[in-house]
Amino acid sequence: MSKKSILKGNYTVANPVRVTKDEETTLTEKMQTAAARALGGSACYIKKANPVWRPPKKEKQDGE
Amino acid sequence: MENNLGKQIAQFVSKLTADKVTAVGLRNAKLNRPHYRKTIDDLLIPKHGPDSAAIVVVGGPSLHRKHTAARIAQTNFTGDIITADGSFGYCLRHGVIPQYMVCLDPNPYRIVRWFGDPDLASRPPDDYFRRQDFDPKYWEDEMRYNQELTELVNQHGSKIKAILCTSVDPTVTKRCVESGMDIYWWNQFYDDPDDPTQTVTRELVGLTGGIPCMNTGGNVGTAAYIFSWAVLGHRQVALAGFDLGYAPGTPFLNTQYFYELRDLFGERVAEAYIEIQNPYLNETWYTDPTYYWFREIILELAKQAPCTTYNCTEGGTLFGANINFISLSEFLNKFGQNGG
Repeated sequence: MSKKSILKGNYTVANPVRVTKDEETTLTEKMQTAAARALGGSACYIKKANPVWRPPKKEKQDGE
Repeated sequence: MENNLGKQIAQFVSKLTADKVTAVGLRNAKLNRPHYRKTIDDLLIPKHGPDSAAIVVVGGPSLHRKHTAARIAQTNFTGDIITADGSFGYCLRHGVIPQYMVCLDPNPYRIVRWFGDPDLASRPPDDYFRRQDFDPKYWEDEMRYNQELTELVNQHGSKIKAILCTSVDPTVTKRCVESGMDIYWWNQFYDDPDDPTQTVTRELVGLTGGIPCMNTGGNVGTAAYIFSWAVLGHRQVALAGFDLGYAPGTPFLNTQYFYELRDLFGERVAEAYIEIQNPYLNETWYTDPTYYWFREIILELAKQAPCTTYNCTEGGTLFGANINFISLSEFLNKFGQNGG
């Protein structure tokens, strides 16, 4: 689809952004400081072989 | 390194999510403690056969564009129906009463809206629902819809098992309790409890009295998908409303993270979106970095899952190995009578 922006301004979407090492650092900092509150999902994702985890019995008793 | 800005951002989303949700999720887990009576381990689940079917319904734009709920209601589907919070009211309105409703987002104002917010009039202004492609006609009059939704949820609540993550805001817990839902709790992972150097999740499990953890995939829809096979044990699982993106022609303003992306990238905001050509539809949809991250995770999970996964959304960006992209009608014809 055409990426015609609803915003004013000139940019060319068809040309991918060229990222140098310095720009990458800038992007990282920007994302971590400004976007953390907004762009993340609604929950964490941790890679696990088994998607359900139960505490070992002793730990469960400690928590009760 | 990806040279598309949107895909570059997507690589950061996992960490951003942890930064965003951990503190509030743990806070809510403490506040919800008075309600911890049953967990997902207390669900009475029959032993399923290899063809036992479930449909996981979430709130992507194809849900209303393809009239998914009404089509399910017409077929007398006998398997389990699992909704996410955002598609729950939509299903009820179209005569689909799900067995399970999954909720996990810690947001203090928005999530309770899916159940009818008794305090809506006093909430800060928020165009989140009106702006997006959530059955838009229905959201035009938000106050009236809120009242109707409140009554509908109160009417059907006692038939629903609410599968609540301990991270949900107490306003959500309160609405689930008030409407008579039967609540089963679970914890999300904030880190790896099997790693001795990581302690957050293990401490959370202790704090909540041993409530088991379930992976989420970063959002409630993927958590509902995981729940369908990892907890309920279904082996034929259909996904509906899993667009994980936006239909061709959708204005950027109507995308979930538009304001945030605009604030970050200004006039280059369009570059943060990612186009995906769907070969099954022969259409080019687009997505944003967050949904792109969700998409990558589901593709990874589908390989791991012991079920066969069917994407019956009939739209969107989710296709790939281990995902059978078929119509909802085909799934219902094949597995519609393969209940429990």
